[in-house]
Amino acid sequence: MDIQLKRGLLEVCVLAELVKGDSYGYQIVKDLSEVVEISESTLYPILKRLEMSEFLRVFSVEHNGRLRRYYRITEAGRKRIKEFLNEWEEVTNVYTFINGIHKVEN
Amino acid sequence: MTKKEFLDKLRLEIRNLPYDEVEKTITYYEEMISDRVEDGATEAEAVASLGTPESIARDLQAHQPFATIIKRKVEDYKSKRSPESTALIVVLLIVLFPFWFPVLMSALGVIASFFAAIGGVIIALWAISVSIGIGGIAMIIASTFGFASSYIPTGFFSIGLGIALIGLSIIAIIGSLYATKGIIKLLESLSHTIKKMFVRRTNA
Repeated sequence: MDIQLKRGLLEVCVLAELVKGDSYGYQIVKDLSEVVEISESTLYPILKRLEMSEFLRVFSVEHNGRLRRYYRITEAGRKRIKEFLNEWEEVTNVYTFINGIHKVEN
Repeated sequence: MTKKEFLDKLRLEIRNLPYDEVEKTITYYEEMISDRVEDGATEAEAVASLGTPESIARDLQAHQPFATIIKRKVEDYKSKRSPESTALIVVLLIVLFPFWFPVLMSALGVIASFFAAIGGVIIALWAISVSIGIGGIAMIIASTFGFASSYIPTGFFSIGLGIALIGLSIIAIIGSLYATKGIIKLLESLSHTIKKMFVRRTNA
């Protein structure tokens, strides 16, 4: 998949995952791996960007004698998901258009 | 590689990033390894699944602002040079001034004219769009003179033309808006590509 496209998709995937509840890095990777290819190293810049855009907040929770960073979605983050779903309708239309022409041409 | 080896290596690779960036990154990867180990992996497996510290560092650096990358390159360069070779470079720079100065100036000129050309296109687009609109408004004002001096058909003609011009101007303004946005996006991706080129070379 195109890198720019995938990065955009993963951002929304992470937000959607957080709608289910607060989560931490490894758990997010594990859950999303069932849907899309993602690694800890891909997740890191995405979390950073989402935090910078204030789509999520970070807090630490003690776990087994160490600190684990948890991520919580913000109101702006929820709005971003809605925006994405609206944008996606347009993308689906474009897909149908391209696919239609492709089939006729071949 | 053990967890400690991995984190030490990573810290070394990203030492030129801002301090809190380094700490955040190390904390993140430390947590990832601990969580994987807790999930049943051995330390070596957990480390191996994260990729090499070099590739992680390269990705992180590509996301840094352009200014930071340049500064880091300059610092790298300074730290590698001995005082004697720095002196030699200064002498060479002065002696060879007639050769490199025109080249540098023309390179800067090319870059400046590139941006001027793009800026010119944007300004021209907006100027055309707005002036069509002003023309339309002028036509509508002119039509009142037509009515006042009882040239009724001329008055209607002016109003119609005025409205059409304003409509055209609105469409042109929307077009200019998209064109401006498109050009800005293009410049952004261009700068990102250039950034990546710099980062690759540093780590090669």
